[in-house]
Amino acid sequence: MHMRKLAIAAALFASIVLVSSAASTDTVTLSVYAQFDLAQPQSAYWPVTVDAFQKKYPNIKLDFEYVSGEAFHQKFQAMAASGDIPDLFTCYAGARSSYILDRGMVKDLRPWLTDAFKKNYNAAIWSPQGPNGEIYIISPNMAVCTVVYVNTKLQKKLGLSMPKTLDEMIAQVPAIRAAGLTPLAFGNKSQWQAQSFLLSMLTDRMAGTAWFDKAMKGTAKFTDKPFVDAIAVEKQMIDTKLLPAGVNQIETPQAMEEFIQGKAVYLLDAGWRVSGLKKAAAPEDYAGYAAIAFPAVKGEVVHGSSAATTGEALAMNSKLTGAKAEAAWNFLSFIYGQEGSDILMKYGTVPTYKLDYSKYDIDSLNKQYIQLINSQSMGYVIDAKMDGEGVNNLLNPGLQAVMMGTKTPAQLAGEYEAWVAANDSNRKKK
Amino acid sequence: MEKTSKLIAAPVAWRAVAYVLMIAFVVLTIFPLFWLGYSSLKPHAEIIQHPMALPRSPSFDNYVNAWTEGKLDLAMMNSFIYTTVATVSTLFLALAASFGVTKFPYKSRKFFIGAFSLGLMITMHAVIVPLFLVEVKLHLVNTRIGVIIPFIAFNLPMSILIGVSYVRGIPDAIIESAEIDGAKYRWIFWRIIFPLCTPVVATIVILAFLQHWNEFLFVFVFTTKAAMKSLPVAITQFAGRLNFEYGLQYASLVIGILPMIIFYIIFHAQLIKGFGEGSLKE
Amino acid sequence: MNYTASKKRSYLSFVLPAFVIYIGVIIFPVIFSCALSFVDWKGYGPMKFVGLGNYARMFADPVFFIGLRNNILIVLISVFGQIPLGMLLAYMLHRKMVRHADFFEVLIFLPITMSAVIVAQLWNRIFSPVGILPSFVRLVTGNQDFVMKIFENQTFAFVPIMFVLLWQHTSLYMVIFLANLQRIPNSVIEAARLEGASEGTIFLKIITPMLGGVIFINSILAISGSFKSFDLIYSMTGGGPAHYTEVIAMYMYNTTFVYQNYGYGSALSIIIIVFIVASILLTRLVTRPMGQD
Repeated sequence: MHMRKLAIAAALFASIVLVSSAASTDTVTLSVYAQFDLAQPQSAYWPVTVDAFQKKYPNIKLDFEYVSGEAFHQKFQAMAASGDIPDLFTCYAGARSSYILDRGMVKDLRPWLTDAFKKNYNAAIWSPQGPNGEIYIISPNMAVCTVVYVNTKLQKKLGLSMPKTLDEMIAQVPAIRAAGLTPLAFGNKSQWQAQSFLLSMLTDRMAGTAWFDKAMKGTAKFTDKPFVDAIAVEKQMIDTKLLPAGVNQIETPQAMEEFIQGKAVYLLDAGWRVSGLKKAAAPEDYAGYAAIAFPAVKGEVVHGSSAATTGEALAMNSKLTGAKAEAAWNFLSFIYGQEGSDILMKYGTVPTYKLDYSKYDIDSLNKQYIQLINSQSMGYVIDAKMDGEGVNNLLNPGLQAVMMGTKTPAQLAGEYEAWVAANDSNRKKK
Repeated sequence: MEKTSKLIAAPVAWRAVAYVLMIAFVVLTIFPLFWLGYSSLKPHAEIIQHPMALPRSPSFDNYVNAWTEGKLDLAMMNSFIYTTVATVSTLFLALAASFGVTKFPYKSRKFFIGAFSLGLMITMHAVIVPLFLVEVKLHLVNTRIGVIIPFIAFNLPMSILIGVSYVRGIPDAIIESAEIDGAKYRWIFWRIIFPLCTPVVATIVILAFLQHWNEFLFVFVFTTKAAMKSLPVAITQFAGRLNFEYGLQYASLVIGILPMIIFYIIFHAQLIKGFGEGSLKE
Repeated sequence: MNYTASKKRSYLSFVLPAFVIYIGVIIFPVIFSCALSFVDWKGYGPMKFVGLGNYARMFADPVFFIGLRNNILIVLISVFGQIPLGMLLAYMLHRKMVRHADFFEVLIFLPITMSAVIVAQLWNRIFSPVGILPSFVRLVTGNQDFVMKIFENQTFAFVPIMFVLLWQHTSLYMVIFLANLQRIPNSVIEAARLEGASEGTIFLKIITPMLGGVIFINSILAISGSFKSFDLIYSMTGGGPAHYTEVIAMYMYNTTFVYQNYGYGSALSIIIIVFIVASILLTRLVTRPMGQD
């Protein structure tokens, strides 16, 4: 610890000297390896942000490589194994980036993070990301995983009211189905949605984050009743035909398409789908969409909550020093600071940087969405907390099995608890 | 063409079955291609709202956007370089090795055939990390040669096996008579074996070209600069993680398939250029 | 003496260039993989020697067995579906049993050029619960909940994938057979026809034995390709639902790169090799009585 602080102080000092003497003339080139898909509607802000940065800092040259999906990690693992990684790269504050975090390849940003800087942001993003309280990323947005989108036009046409409880929503099923429509569109073909978009929120409703903290440590167990009950709610949603038949064969975008085509009254999806809805829906339909919290579930102890995690962000190579480190910080503090967040907001993503929303021309759905997430508490997203193998290999497929009726909720909870007890790194921490 | 027309025609029952099979294949193949083709002419929102409908006002915007945003011109050129160099190299290396292990009387040839066959069993994902480390050490990362060598290596086993099965069938007498005439083996290979192998050369070239053209993993992992990307890698950038931009994706997929189709149409004639047309008349 | 030495030198000059490239790129990493299969390793940090632990784990892992079962199904559809069909198609084209044989040949070849991504997307558009076919059936029968139940059936979920494999990869074998049919002089078929042999007899009793070696080579290609199949299944189902369509290569990929369990992942890639070798030896045993070298 002591050595590290000294080193950081020395590096800072050196960088200040270097920057003040040479910053204005020399060009610094930074390589950036980013998990980004520029074709996505929610990425539309990014080229604008980069342009704005280049205007302000013409001496910093950025060399991008964009990769999307799982392939990003595969290649990054190979790079990490060779010991040579780019100057800046996408990093998750959690297990998904352990292959670089555990190797000490990511720079701790704390030397730059003054209280004055930190107070501009939603405090949730400053919870420790490393074993010694390190902060590796400035998360630009919260990934809110559960939002129920409502087609209010259809709702009115069918004479339905806004459901307050899950039971009310289920009670609407016959009327919706009688009109030949799907009650709640949802797709779980890729297996992780039933866990990230649904079970995470249900677990929070049934047990709260305090229980989850205990379950991670092992003082509570995934065989506890609230967790089993949370799984059982998913089964109930299938049995009552609230969720569409064959939900495990539907891709998430297909569920969104159903909703856009006016074939479903409700859509269960993530918060980041707002921009996708806006891009694909007819404007007059889009104007009639609403965003609400998942309705109240019988037996819940937390009310109105969703589940969220801090979104991934670019992080800095720990080897950077001097002018390069300073240039990298300039970049990060620009894109995640006031200027970058302003652009993000204009493109419809709510940043973690505190902005005066009244200054922005926000469409109705986005306005509702902002109000919603600012008014609800956020539970954990299970796959952001627990080891990937247990979640992807056991819990996600297990949820599908429960929904298809080949496993009971208690059985799945038992299998998952057994795996976690034996293997999960959370339980091994002392 | 002419040689087969001399053949007595097949019975009607066989011809009927042949038509049924062929048409079944054609229907199953034309439909997806047709759908892909016309969908690529629709904007994203229209694809989502009416996935199966024909385009209302067909437009090549997706192609223009994919081509410029995805830098597909550069990727197309890279793909041509990788594929052509790797395919030609694979062909000569494989055919030479096939000739070696079939027409020379050494015991070690069994070992070589066995060793090459082993290569068929290795999945690329299993070797990618160690291979990357080696390439880093040898400074081959981000070079074209660093991509082309693994391309060749992974295609050799299949090409050699196909080559072996064909070259083995060439009568030894042809080679022996040339040997007696005092011909060098290099001469025999180029002047006798190679011309006799036209159909299998076409097979190897078509299959190697196909594999190299579609190869994703090596280019993806071993290169970081946009200037080195091949078509499949560039196209994958349009396949979204959380959302999709279908129009762009379909347009780029069509751009990716077209060269392969054209290549096959050009080359397939060689497949059926018979043995009988060469010097070999039994 | 001199002549033999030069002959051997020629021999090596034909074989070695390919061999050197091949060894350098493929064999070294496989040895590395083999060594990793005996350790517990996250891809970084300390390695812990676990002996046969990873292999032992495999035999207690239900997901591995689902993968194995599905891989064997692919081998079966490849060897007993794609190869015979490919051969039959090649023969039909060779014998010009259809007009415009060129046209059909190109179209049969085409599926293999299509990326797995597009095949999977189209498949979804047709067969997923919101796809054309279920929508149509719902309209006609009035059953709102109609879905393709086969995809959710533990036993049969893999069958549709086999069908797509048959459609997409048969042309690989067809092309190889087509080239090799050129080796058979037309006079052979003509003579048999004149002697009154039926088309079936010619195909089964004359052509098939003459292509024996090629059938064997194609079987090797089919078996090894089967165990390595990844792209199409990854795009079509990702192994789901509930692991029903898992295959070993995909499981190995996830284990290594997603779960970062390099030891177990390496053991899976080694077991893939073992299964391929075993299947090929079995094929050899079966085809040997057919008189093939």
